[in-house]
Amino acid sequence: MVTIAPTEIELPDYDAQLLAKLSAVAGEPAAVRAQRAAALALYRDLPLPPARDEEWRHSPLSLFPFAGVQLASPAQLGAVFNADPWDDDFDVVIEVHDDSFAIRDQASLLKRGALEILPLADALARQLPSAVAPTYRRKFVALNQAFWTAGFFVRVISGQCRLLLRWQFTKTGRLQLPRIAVAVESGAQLNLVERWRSTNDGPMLVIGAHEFRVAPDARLERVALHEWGVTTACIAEDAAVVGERGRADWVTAVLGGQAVKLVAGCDVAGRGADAHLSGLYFADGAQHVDQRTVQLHSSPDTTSHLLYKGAVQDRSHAIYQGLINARRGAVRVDAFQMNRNLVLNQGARADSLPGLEIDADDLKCSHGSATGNLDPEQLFYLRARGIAEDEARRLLVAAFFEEVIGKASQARVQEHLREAVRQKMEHAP
Amino acid sequence: MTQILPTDNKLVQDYKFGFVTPIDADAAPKGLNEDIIRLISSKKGEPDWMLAWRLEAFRHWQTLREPHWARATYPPIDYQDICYYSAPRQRASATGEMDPELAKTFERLGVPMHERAQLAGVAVDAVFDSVSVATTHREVLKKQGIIFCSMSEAIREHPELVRQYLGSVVPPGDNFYAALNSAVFTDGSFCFIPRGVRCPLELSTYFRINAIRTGQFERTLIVAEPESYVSYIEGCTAPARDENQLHAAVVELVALDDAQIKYSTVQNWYAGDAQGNGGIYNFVTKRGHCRGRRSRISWTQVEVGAAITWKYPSVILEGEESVGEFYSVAFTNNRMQADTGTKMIHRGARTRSTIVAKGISSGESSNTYRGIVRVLPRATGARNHTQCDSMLIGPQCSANTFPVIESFNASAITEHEATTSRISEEQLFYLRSRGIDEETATALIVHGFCKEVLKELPLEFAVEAVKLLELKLEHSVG
Repeated sequence: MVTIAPTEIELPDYDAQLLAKLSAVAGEPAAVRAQRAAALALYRDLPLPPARDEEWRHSPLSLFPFAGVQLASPAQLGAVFNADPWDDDFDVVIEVHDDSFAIRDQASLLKRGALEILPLADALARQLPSAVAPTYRRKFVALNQAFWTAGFFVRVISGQCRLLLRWQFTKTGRLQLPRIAVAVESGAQLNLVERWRSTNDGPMLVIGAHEFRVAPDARLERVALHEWGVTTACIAEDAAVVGERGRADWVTAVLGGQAVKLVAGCDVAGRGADAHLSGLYFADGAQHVDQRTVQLHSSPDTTSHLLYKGAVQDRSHAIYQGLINARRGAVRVDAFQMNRNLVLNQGARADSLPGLEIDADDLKCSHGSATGNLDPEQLFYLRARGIAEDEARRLLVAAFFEEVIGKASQARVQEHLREAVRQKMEHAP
Repeated sequence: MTQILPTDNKLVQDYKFGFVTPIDADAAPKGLNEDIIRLISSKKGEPDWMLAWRLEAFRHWQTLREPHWARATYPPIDYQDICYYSAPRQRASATGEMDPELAKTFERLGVPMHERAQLAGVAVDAVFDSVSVATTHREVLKKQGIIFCSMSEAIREHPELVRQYLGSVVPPGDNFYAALNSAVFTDGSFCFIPRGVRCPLELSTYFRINAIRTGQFERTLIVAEPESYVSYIEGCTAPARDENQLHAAVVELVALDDAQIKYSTVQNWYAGDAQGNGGIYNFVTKRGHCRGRRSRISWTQVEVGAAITWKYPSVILEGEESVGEFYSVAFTNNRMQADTGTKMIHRGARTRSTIVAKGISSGESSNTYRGIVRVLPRATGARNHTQCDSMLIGPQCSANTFPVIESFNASAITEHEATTSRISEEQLFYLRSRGIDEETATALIVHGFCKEVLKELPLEFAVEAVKLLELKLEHSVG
């Protein structure tokens, strides 16, 4: 039997001294330091998730190179902006390159006041109500909120904004803590694409935390592309609250990284709110991809739809944990959750843990999960038409993911994902 | 004379099995220690190896912690405040007839203790508190080489079989309650079906808790030799009392090559009153081992009682092409808490499993399905299909579904579907517009909802289960 030995690991001492150093380098005002200190107190108060914890038992903390990384220096506004072909499809581009960042306002949205982007420290110093995150009692979110090294506050005030956020980490042996707070105001729309990339040269650890607030009648589309290098590990939590008649569309694609543990939680909090969570993951080599989603229905008349599709090959391991939670009184809720996994070869592993937690009665919640290899009949059909086996497999895997790829609205993102799947299949054993 | 407890509580009145039989009982003092275990062992005239086995389990139990991951809240259990052995002094008269008081009890419970013609199809082992009081139809079974007797008797008469199989599916240290059971188990049934025999009767055990502040720790072991078949039925009830009583059973099934075991349960322990006072804590470990090729183990359960249920009848699919099945209806009302489901562990090639679980929650109850489907690397071509449906009646109840699906094999196919919804307004309206009152309409809909599971029960048992469900539903509507 394959079991993961419970590992009791000790995390480096993230303490007040280290925090003081970070704030000094960044030259932060007292208000920001106080908020960091409060988060640190919470972090130190919370226990490490025990090895047998349901959420962590498939992903022991020893997968993450805490001991091998030092806290990165805080990101500062840099002079250089490295253009990228993707930039053409967006109104505004934020580039973060290790410890420097640059913003390019290509459609003058910032100038016109339709959009606001602030370094997170400035937003926290000004106590902008929509920038202050709810404090989740989560160990690594608290760590991020105490030590975040690069942070932005984005507020879409009116109209539509297409924002590209490019993260590129190249310095090995660093612990990066990116943090984003996004507010989409009433009637506005944000299309956010985030690309997360890093080099393959040595250990890197990224601990991220994102918060999204979608106001009534607002709309958020968010695509996160995890294209980490093979020596990077990542723990990240995203949380969204969607107001009345608001809509959130998330597409999360995990393609790279040595060990990736993500949580995507969406609270459809106002009447008529709607959330669509989609996920694509393809693990190969020795990759470990663990994703957890939460569809929280805290209000009546809310809907959510989730589709996560993944493939595993070589010796990789993917875990999907999903939860639909309908709170007491959340009536006339319609929630759906579907997870499908392709296990492409012996030795790869996919686990699925869909869950329903229902405390209200007048609703319809359902989930489905299916795990298997490619359908031999479909393979036979294609081969009988003269298509070589490798090509037939590629076609079927491409078709499997097409349903999720179609959830991203931008053609460039779609094409990029198709190409990424193709490349993974090139390395099929 | 047996008498119904005088009470004004509507529900207690409805729990027609809630009476107490006033018998003279031989009970051990309260508390749990090695001396109590020695006492239990000596009362039953057990050999030394059995006592050693119990003591080892007890010592291991002391190192374990009570599990609290289930969706249930309850005050701490004081294991020293429980009586671990209670037996009626008078079990049978000199002529071998069952004690008339006990016979009356089982008669009232509807358990056929007399070998009457119309009930010739069922052989019964009746367990009253800590001991088996009678086993019927033994001669008929003996002719075919079938052993059906109480566990105590099996330990004395067939030690070689017991030693070979006891603890081979649920080891004494398996979990907290299994370890406790291994240390203090008092009685239960032992069934052995020899090679090639199709058991001509339904075998059945009826568990009755009678004594106050007594835990029931029964142990059942069923062994089906190659090419044999047996259908086993389990029923249970307890008096209505304001205090909680612990029931921690262990059931082990072993199916060898081409053997088939069908295990059906209607669990109707006292569930407490509408305010959640009293009721049985049903913390049970049930596991089957498809040890042989093409063997088959099928669990069917209708869970309508107990204040708290913690029960996961499982199948380890070892033999190639073996089949595991789990069919379950779990009904909760008032303040009942049920956390139940199954584990299907696929070890052998081309093993198959089916899970159909139906949960109905009403009142302020909580009803949870929790299960694991695990396909291990050698289980090439394994197949699982799981269907979990929950129905909610009323706004104060909860329904949860927590499945875990782990696949270590590229050729395995696992499928899981689950739905949760309220009892259909449309269906209710349809039936009511045809002049059917709401209670009957609800019962009809629930019956339809559970049909897939109920049809797996042996016929007479299914009729009983349907009646029970209807009775339980009566006060859940409106």
